[in-house]
Amino acid sequence: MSKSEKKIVLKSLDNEAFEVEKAVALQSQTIWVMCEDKCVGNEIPLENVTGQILAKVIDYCKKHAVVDGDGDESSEELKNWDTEFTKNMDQSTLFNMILAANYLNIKSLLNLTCQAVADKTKTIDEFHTFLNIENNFTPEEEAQICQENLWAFDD
Amino acid sequence: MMKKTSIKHLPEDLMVEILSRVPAVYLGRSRSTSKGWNALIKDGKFVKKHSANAPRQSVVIMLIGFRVYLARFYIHGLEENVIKVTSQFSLKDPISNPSKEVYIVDIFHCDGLLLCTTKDNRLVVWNPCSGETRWMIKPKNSYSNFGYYSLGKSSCNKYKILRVDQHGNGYISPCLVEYEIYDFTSNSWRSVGKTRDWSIPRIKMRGVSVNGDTYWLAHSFSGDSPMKKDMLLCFDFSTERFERESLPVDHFSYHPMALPMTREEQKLCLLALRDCNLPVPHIDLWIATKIESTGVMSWRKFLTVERADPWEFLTFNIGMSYLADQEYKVLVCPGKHGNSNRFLHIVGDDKYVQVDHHDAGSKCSLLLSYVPTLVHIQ
Repeated sequence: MSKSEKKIVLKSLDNEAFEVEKAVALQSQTIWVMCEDKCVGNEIPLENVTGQILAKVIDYCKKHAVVDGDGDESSEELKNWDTEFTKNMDQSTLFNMILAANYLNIKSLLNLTCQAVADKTKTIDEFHTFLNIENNFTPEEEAQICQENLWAFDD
Repeated sequence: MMKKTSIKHLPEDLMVEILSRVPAVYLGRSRSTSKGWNALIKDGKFVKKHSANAPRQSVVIMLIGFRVYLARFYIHGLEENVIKVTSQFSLKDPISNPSKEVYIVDIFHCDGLLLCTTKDNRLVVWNPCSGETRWMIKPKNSYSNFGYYSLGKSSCNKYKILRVDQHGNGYISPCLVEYEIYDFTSNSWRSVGKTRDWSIPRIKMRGVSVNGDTYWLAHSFSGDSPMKKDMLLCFDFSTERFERESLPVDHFSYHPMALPMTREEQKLCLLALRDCNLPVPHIDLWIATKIESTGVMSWRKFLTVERADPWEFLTFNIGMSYLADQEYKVLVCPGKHGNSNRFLHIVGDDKYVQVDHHDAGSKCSLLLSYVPTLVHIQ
């Protein structure tokens, strides 16, 4: 890669274009592989990610990029930034971020977003509603499980 | 307008990624919600992933009248120390009598597993979170001598039970100590060694588990000399050997009394009484900040408690269990003299705490910090 190719354009599902530093974009293994393969030009179409989500992903990558000695942010600060980043995301956005992080193959973002969903899932009712799980035990089977294990944490 | 995305839109592997980050406490009680989940929680690959990803949350358990209770601690201001017993873990024996509750006399905790000695003199390893139990026979000679059990984990994640069989009370003079290991694969006990170099005083027989290994306060003897020295003894479950570790105190000026654990991080602490001849006697509490594979342990003092009356300290010496809390700089132990009105004692603030539970007539005989996990016993 020559130095003239420092910028790259990412194009979302809904045709929104984002120009970003290569060092920022290359945190995505998927984009990295695409660039290595030289199968794409300077513009990379990302067919699974909407502009709204891609903008957030780019925010994350910018924060976590180590660009020309600019990466002296302390790990503590980064951690706080990460917490703030996911704090106010609603459920739907978080799931979309997980899908995007998975598709783009950004391991640290996938960890962060999965943990954020896990952290918001603490009571049994939350499990039911948040994760939308249906109870498919028969009443007898459920009684058997409860019998095995009288496990009840009251909050 | 973007359409709402729910968990149904996630492929299974991503759902597993999320679930592997939910603390075991919450997953355990969701077993009854779906067949798929119940199977997942028991799946070996998931358990491994979960133990790597999920944050570890500790809870406090108490043994009250042969039953295991879960307690919530609120140690905030001096006025508002509350301990609330929230629920009971019920141990059942599915083979001999599935409807009858099994009574427990002693518990040893390691890695989310409870090694329990039952009132009917049996041994069981129990994961209350996943519901898994493993009953085992006691070794043949276990009724003749004074012995104690601990559960540990080797570096290749194999669980083992250690039984130490001591032919004497271990206070003053050397005695024969034999030890054996229970092998979960062969379902049998095998002898691993014997010694007369050290012994564990009877009131300090309950060791504590740190990173899979077990620690005790013991006495060391050299040759036939009656001079004993205090030492920190560690059983390494990988090498199946006892090791000596350093203590932060010398035995001329301190009397080591107990090994509390910290409530949150499950770190090893040392409770020691400073020489009683001082004008104001005090106890010091250290925390082991590092247990490296190099064998070097570093200690940091984090609490000193002074009392005008040194006799009170002696009650700390009678084989009680403790939880240390770094944040609030207190030590919690069962109330002295087993008085049920003074159920737990918070040392440092000099407060007694009444515990709110339905069976207040019984006393709490054991206090443990327990970290629920989904680990399989074997």
